[in-house]
Amino acid sequence: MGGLLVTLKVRYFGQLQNEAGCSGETLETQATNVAELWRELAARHGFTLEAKLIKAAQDDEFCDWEAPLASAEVVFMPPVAGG
Amino acid sequence: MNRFVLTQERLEDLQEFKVPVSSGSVVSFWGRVRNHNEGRPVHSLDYSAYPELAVKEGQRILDEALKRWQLDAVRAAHRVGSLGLGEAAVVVEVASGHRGEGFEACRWIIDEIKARVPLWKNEHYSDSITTAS
Repeated sequence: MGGLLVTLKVRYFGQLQNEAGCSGETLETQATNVAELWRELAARHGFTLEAKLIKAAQDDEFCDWEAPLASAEVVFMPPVAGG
Repeated sequence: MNRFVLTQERLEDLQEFKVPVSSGSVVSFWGRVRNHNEGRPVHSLDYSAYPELAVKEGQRILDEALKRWQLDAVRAAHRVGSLGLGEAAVVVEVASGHRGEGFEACRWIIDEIKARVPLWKNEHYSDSITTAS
């Protein structure tokens, strides 16, 4: 923590949508990477899934948990369940 | 050809899978909505997707299969939206010279779709309300 305040769009899918009560939101954060942003959002929304089960994306590509926040939109996904 | 598709339309109504005459084998997998899950009666379900990434990841899976096996043509499609019992949720079709690589590739593709493509299922049970996964 301790970075500059940035404005980001966040999108949620699956169970995370139900727990957040929305499919996405625009917010201001001081988080500098994806993991920090997740911790902030998990505390706010009370997400029940462990971080290691969550996948993240930026610019519509999977990204590393330690990736810096380099995009205007970050997406969080619970374990996939297609097929 | 060789495309991964997300669609709200019935997969049963997809255009015919075009196969060259060199293909001695066509293997298809149809994943359908069944009427029970973990002992509970299901009456319908819906699938949601992160469409921008789901299409990319699905296409990557088909491209990887085309590199790993000697295939003539491959196609996969996944439904999104609301599905009734017995309707197809996913279809994988693989054309190849011989059946060995066809069966292997088809099995691999459906396993990878289930493991990697950002899609989520909401099951609606006859005995209660929705469960999201």
